[in-house]
Amino acid sequence: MILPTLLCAGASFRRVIAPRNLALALVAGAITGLALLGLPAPGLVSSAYQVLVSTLGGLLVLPIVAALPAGDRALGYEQLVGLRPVPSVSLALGRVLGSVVGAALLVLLLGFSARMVAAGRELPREVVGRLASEPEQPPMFRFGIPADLAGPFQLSLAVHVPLRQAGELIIDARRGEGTQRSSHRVRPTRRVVLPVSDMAPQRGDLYLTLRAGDGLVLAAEAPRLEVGRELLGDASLRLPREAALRIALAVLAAVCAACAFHFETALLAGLLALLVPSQQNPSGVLLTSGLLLLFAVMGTALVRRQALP
Amino acid sequence: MTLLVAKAITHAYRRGFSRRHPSLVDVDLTVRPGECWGLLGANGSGKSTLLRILAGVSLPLAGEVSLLDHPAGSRAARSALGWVPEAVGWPRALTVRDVLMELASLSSSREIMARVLRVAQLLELEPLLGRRLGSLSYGQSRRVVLGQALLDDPPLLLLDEAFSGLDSLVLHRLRDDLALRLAGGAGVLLATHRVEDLHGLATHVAVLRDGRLCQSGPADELLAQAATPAGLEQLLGIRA
Repeated sequence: MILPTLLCAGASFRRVIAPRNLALALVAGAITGLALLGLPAPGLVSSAYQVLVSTLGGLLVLPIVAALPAGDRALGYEQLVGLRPVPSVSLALGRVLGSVVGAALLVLLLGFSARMVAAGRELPREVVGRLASEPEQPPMFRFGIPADLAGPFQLSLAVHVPLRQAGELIIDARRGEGTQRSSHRVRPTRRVVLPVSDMAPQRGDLYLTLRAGDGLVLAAEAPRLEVGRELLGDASLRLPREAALRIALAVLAAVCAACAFHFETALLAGLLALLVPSQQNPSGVLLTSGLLLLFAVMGTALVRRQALP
Repeated sequence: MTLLVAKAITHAYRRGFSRRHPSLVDVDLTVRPGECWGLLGANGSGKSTLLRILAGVSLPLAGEVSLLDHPAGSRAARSALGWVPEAVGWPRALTVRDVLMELASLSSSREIMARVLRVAQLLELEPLLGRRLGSLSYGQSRRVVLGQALLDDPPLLLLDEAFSGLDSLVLHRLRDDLALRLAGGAGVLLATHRVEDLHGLATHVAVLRDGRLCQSGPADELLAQAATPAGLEQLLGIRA
């Protein structure tokens, strides 16, 4: 039974990774990469990458895998397949195996092509300030700055300034033994970006105490210090491993449903599986997969029985 | 030994809720090794329906079909059969090579590529192996349908209008190949509405008229009767 299963799997795999499907995955990946280029912060890019790859990946592969058995049946090609002396178990398991492996390859291709487009982008390297003062004192933030980075740095701060007024912001900086005070006039805006000296030759963490004058209110959001620029890189764009199980189950549901039902029903089954939060319980995943495979085998046998009474 | 035995095959298509339109009535047919039966009949006489039933793709209302003593549709019967249906809707995105390899691999894992190439050479499909099925002409598509039936060298071939759309060279090669297979002990049932297809190939002829087997016997006698238009009209039961 193993050899026919592998042969069926190979046939399904070849059809899933047809040149047109590979091209679709590449294009979807390139579009994902281009979308990532427009995002401002590395953290946002990283999370958007994971969401886009898992969502677009699912939407790309589900119609492809659902169309294989369902399309064959609609065309009548199923009868030529059904006439071959291959057991229904091998046919069903082979279809599922080939489709799942092919779909995984397409999603990976999508993820890697998105990475190729987006990974070369330069983004600001930011350090988030940690509050290091008592509640009744003016807020003091600690910034852990890598020793190899030289200033000046850019402080990004969310503020509230009433319209047609201007506020004053005094920054007391301390690094090592050195201290420095600077005063800035802030116009009505929601975010202000101010230069901060690196206080060379002092090294170590940088402490900034922010004192808001009349007409200026500091927002609750922690200030950020841009300490340089860096390439987005492959490390920031990690493949959505958490979503892999959900996509695999969705593909499994779509293929198994397509073994017995029409394309639309199979696609719906896959989409539902994609939307349902993934089960982290291994026994639950195994049970679901086993039931789906059983359904695929029974569906294939019954449909074949219909085609070959 | 018999390759195919069909006994009292009766079939009807449903028309409306309770009415049935008979398409085959008590058809008996036996194909032995080395025999090529030509199944003649006008359009709508039941030839394709009979072939579908013999292949095990449709169920008869009554009657029995066995291939090499196995019931039609069983795994053993399917292994012994090559079926060329009248029409196939191919998956358009697949190439000729893809589909032939897939079907060859589903039958047997032995010499998959060699079997595909042998059939491709016979049917002049070699230049088309990389072409998508959706881009093929009618004749080219028919050659692929024929190719899939010949992949496994089955002992029994059920051919439904197999020669339609083929060019002269491929037709000549195919007829030679079928003759060789017949000499090697295979059996062929060739459904056609053109008498010319049967000359030089058929050893026996059966004539279907309105779903009934009205005549059957050695090809020489019946084909001689169909040599003139009037004789053919009489044979097929067509009224001018």
